[in-house]
Amino acid sequence: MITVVFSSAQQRFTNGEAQAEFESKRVDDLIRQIYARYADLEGQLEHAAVAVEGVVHNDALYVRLPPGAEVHFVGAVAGGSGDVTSEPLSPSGAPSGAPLEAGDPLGFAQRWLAQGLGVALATVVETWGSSPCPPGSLLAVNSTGHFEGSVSGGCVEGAVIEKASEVLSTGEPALLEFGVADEDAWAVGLACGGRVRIFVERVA
Amino acid sequence: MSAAADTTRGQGERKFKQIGSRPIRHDGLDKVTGRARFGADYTLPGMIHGVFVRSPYAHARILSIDTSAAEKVPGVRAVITAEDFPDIAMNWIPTGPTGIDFGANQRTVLAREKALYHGHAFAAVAATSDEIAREAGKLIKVEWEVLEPVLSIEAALAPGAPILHEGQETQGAGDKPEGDSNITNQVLFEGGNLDAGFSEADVIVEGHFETPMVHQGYIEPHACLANCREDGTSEIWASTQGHFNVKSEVALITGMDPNSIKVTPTEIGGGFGGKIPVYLEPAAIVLSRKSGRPVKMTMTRDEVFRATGPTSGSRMWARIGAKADGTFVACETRLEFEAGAFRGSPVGAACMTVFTPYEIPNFKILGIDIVLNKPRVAAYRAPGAPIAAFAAEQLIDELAGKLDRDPIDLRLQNAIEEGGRAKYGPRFEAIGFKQTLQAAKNHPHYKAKIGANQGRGVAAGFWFNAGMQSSATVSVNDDGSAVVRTGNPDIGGSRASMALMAAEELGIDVTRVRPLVGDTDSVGYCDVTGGSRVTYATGMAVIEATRQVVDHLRARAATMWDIELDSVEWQDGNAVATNGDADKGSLSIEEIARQMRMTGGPVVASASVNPPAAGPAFGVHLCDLEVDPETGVTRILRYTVVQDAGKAIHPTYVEGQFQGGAAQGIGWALNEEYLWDAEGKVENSGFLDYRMPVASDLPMIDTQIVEVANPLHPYGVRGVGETPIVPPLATVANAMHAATGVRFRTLPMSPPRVLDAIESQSS
Repeated sequence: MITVVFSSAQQRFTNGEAQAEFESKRVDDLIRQIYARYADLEGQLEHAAVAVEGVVHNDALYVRLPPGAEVHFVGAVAGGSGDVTSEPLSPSGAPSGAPLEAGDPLGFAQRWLAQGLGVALATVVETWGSSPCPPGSLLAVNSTGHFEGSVSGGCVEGAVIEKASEVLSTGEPALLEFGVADEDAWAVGLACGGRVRIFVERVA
Repeated sequence: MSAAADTTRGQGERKFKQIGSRPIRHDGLDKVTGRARFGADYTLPGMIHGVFVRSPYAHARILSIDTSAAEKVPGVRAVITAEDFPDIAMNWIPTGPTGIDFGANQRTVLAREKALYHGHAFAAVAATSDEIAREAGKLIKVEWEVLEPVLSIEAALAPGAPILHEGQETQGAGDKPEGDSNITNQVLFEGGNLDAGFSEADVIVEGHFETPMVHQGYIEPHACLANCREDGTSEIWASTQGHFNVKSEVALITGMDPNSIKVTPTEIGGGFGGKIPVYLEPAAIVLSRKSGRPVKMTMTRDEVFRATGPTSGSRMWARIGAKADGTFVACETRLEFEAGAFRGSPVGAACMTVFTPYEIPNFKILGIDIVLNKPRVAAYRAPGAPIAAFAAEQLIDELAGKLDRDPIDLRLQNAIEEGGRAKYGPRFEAIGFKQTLQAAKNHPHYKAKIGANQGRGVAAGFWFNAGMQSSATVSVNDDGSAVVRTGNPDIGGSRASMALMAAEELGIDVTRVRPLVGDTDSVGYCDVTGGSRVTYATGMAVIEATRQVVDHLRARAATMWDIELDSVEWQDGNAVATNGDADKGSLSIEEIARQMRMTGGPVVASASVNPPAAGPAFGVHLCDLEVDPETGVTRILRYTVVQDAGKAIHPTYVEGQFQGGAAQGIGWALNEEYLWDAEGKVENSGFLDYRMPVASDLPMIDTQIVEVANPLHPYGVRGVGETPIVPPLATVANAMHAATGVRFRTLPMSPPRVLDAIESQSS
């Protein structure tokens, strides 16, 4: 008896079954049997790397299966790019249930407000030189210290978040300014050189 | 596969005589005296010089190209564009171990419909001098339709963003955008129950992380010499990680018959994955065919930065939850990786490695591959894993802080071990993560005192290590010495390792074995030098071939003695008669070799393997650093790499891999990044402005080799080359936090950024 364990992505083609058992002695025969049982998987397993009892074979078609083996079809990783190629295509209408995505600070702010958390919003209002985020860029920070969005690509977020927690407690808005003026900074050729002005306010 | 079947299991404890010794590498003398011949050192009579002409725009449609003025320049012998190649459509094919898109590979050599990054080559000129070729290139007239460039992940994902590849829809798992998109592929691993898992957590930490595009920074720029001859056969000399790969890629991209192409690997001055793709060779061979002359092409450093394989910049979000007793219960990530101009970032490997070193029952790991108008990424040493570990290992450090736990103890409590399930599915065989953590904890470095403005960081990481195809041929000379031929360019000292393994099996001193790297016509097929696979897989072929040679030598001794083969044993380089024939005594390999012509001619044997993936290697790094609060400059005071090598064949070169990976990772952490102008032009395409660490920037990096035998290899070898670059980004970031109290979630931690953070913290 061979146990095939399906990945979460593969389970979209197996009616949600997480694993299944087969009588098979070799990978090529096993694949034929899997296709016979789960027609939607057809064509998706020949190029996968196959893990047999934890040993990952890249070219697995004729690998023998010891009785009782656990088998996975996984994305292979060679010395190349590391792109995982064997994740099956998702069928249309797959359930979503995904959380809010990064890059939507206002969406997060709204959700946090609905959860009864305090929320401060930091907005880039003015930039000079090569600052990474343009005016209008947003960072939302909640009263537990969680944050979403970006006002500088990470350069000054720490300071802004700290200021935001102060703004949250006092209710007083603040206008912050950050920049790099140090000539030495250029010695390593990596100063971004920009300046940025950020407005931080409590929202309700 | 079947050939490897009997050699893939371990032999238990074995006393080694050659393995574990530290001979000087066979190519060492030539390299330190400057005699070694690298890619640019090859010449042929009548040779001319080829150069690329590159796009001044990051994103522009090519409406027409007029090369007539360039062709009329005296000294110009050939001009080519994409029109000189067969029109191969872009199509991602999942073949063999990884996917491949020959249409994209061809367009990486020469743009066809569009230039997709600043510096994307769209034509090449061959002339009697480099200068003439460059000047003639300026006379090529292109009608461009300049398009808005997509220069950040944010811009690539924005609604209404310009699309790099029309008709490209998102593949893979998870929720996906409708219609054409700059997201090419999504990877998703889920297990357990995420919400239930996080609701069990007493502490949850999360963070957004960003890392910039960085270059491998190999010292030797790409170079090749190509000669297409009158009879249609071709020879190529190339600085490459895999000459068999050059042969097949050149054939597919140019439409030439692969059997007509012979590729000879030159010595190679570093690759780190970036010399797996072909950039020059297809253009050079077509220029040679068109001009009837041998064509040499070499890149400048500027070209290397603008148009060869960096690794991805990233934008990541991750969170992890733990119970008050330290047990990890849930984790979640969204990893967004820049692929550059064509699909193929290492985000899949990032997903497979992030949080995988730990038992976490409930997880959702999402990875997104994004194209944008930057150079196409290539493999870079454990592709994707250092970036993923930068996020995961910092969050674990933060958890340790919140739970008031020693960071190594917290990792030990949750570390995956044999039988544990990787997030991508299968269970691990014997691995040495816990042993490595324990060794790091016991290391004197971990107990040493540190001073003011100083901090200590610790982080862990692993890499899978590849198997793949290899072959080897071993022959015995008439004086009892031996030659080992393989087809893997020697980047990290592999000649010495191959010689050691052959010497061990033959029972002779390693200095009596000469290792050679053969061209595509003189050795059996070998996949690329990459994936930390050569000592493991090619070594396995060497061991197998040498064992066959030993069997031949026993048979020759049996012939000389006129006894049965079964009565001859092989001990320490001697045939020893046993059973009823013990009175015959023994014959040395020299004595048998001298008689080879009498006993059946030369002794030669070959073997080939395609073993499974090589057994993951785990590493734990320790870093002490000091931050100057006045300047933001960081000095690394002490750095220690502890890693499982399975079995160190040549310990000096294993340690060298540890040190090299750490040095590269420290550079990535502290200084390295591409800087772009608003149009997408790289502003720092030279080593003066793209600051990599040099010897004076770093202390001697301390190493400790842990040996937990890999059950898949006859000596227990694990790949070691890639793992050492996985932990450093997070190790340094954790040390920075310890020194400054600031969490750096954006790389690099360069002096201006550090100063800013310190100042904003104190103000």
